[in-house]
Amino acid sequence: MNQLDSHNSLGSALLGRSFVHPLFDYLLIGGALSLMATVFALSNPDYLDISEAAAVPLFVLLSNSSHFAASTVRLYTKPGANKALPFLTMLFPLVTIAVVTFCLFDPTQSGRHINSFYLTWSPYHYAAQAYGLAVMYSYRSGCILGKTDKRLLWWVCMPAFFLTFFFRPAVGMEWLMPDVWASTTAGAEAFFDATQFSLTVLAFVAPVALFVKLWRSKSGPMPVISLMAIVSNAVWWCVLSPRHAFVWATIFHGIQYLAIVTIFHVKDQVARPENRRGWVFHSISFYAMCIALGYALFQCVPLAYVFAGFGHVESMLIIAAAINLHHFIVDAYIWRLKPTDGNRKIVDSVTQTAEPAAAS
Amino acid sequence: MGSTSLLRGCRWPRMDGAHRCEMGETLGMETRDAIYRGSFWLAVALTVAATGVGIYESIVIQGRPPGLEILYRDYLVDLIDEGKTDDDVYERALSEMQMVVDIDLTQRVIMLGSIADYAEITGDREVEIEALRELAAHNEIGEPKRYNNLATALIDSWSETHDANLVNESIKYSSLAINMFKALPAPEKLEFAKSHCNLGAAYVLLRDHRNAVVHFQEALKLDPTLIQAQQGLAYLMQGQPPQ
Repeated sequence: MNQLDSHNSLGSALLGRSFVHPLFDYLLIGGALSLMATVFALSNPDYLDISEAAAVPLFVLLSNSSHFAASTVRLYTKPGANKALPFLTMLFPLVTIAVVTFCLFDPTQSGRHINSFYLTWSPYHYAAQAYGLAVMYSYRSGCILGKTDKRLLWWVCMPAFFLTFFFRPAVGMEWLMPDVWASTTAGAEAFFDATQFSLTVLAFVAPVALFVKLWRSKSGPMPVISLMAIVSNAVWWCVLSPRHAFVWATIFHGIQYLAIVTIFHVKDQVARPENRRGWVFHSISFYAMCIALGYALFQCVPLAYVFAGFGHVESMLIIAAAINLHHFIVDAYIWRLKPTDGNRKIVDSVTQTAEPAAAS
Repeated sequence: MGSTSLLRGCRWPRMDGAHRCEMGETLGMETRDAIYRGSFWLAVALTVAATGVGIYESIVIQGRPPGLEILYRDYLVDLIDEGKTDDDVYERALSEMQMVVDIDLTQRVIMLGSIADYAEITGDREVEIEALRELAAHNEIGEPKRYNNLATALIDSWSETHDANLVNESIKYSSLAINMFKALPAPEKLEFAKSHCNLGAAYVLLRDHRNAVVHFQEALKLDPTLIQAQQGLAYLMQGQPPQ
């Protein structure tokens, strides 16, 4: 009987504590859906290049554009964020608009750099999100991460970013010092090939090694969903070609982000003393706001700059870059898990599906 | 304490230093809050106005609110299409494509290739050469066919300028194309033949008839129907000028 209990507790520790339902959490937040889609696309290469598919623009609005908007909507709906982050909530939007306008006056220099900057930052942002999710589910599932473990966890999320930073065209080193980097890589091709290969292997082996280490340590096992979030990020950046990686990672990262941010938003809203609405209302209204803001920012605002006399291409590119950067910066603040932050209460809360359901 | 500087120039009734500082900080905070609030609402107003203007602009241009477009893709496709028949639009399309090259480094190679293809279709040799040269300079040509196109465009350009450098450059790119074709497991014979033919034509212009014959013959081995190679060889063997 004791053995059965210990099996059960090990099983639930590995499964982790989900926010909604294990199936929902693993598929959307853990990245299982993206792993399945990637395996399918890799075995049917015709489906790999989806950028030309007719439904993609709609899909991009529903996942990608709305996920960028979601961080802004979350920033202004998160209880206490206005007080805690006055610069970010009040002044930063105007700073972003000023930067966009400045870059549009000098698109070939400033525009190029802001665009490359965001493309370089993107893989880091995705890796950091994988790290954040892994920590979040570990906390939630009772896996106590010490300082060293957290540091190790951060490092095991990074090989995918380093691979992109050092070896992918047009971003990272190739953007920062194109001539020097081109001559360096040409001179030591074998060394750089070996490094690329090592980083790719590391992106998959290191998370598993850490998983095993934690399992055998006092902290107890990290839930599989944490491992899966890191591995799916590695799959996007290390297995797919750079062009496909940007498209696939963009869509699945967006889905992952929307799922987790909606959960946090709903939990915050239903916990308000004056709340009278259920989780369905808060989920739908939050998502609707994200879609509307995403549509306005990506599809409408660039055309206002066209109306003002700027070119179509530079307006689209520079505004997209600025929205990305705004999102990355906002995210660095709204996902903090300090014990004093409201997020931590949500992560630590015990109730799962019952909580939002009861509120509705 | 920086906030007290906001009070410089203000006249205060007699107060001790600490009280003055406290009031100064309060006023400084209030000023800061006012600035923050003002800039927030300004940003909101600008975003709402820009959204409205964007919708208006789209209705004026396309007769409908903005559709779902991934960045500039549909806009550029339409512009390129329209530019095939309208010179002004062609210039605008080229300048927008060049803007993609300049800003989005991830699309640079693809877009330079598109510029070269577009210029080839519209017969804009200068633009085609410029785009392909830029790709070649960074070793980004990718496929031997593009080297062929560049070599052909350079020879065509020679007929206007009679600049021998263009011929030498053409030889360089045809040779690179041949090397690339040789490395392929199953090279496309017609394009491979074209590389030899270009090389033959370039040697004719340099009056190196021996090499020219060799390459025209190679071209005809790969594609016996290649008219330019037939004419080149006929010119060299029988003195019949090529058409």
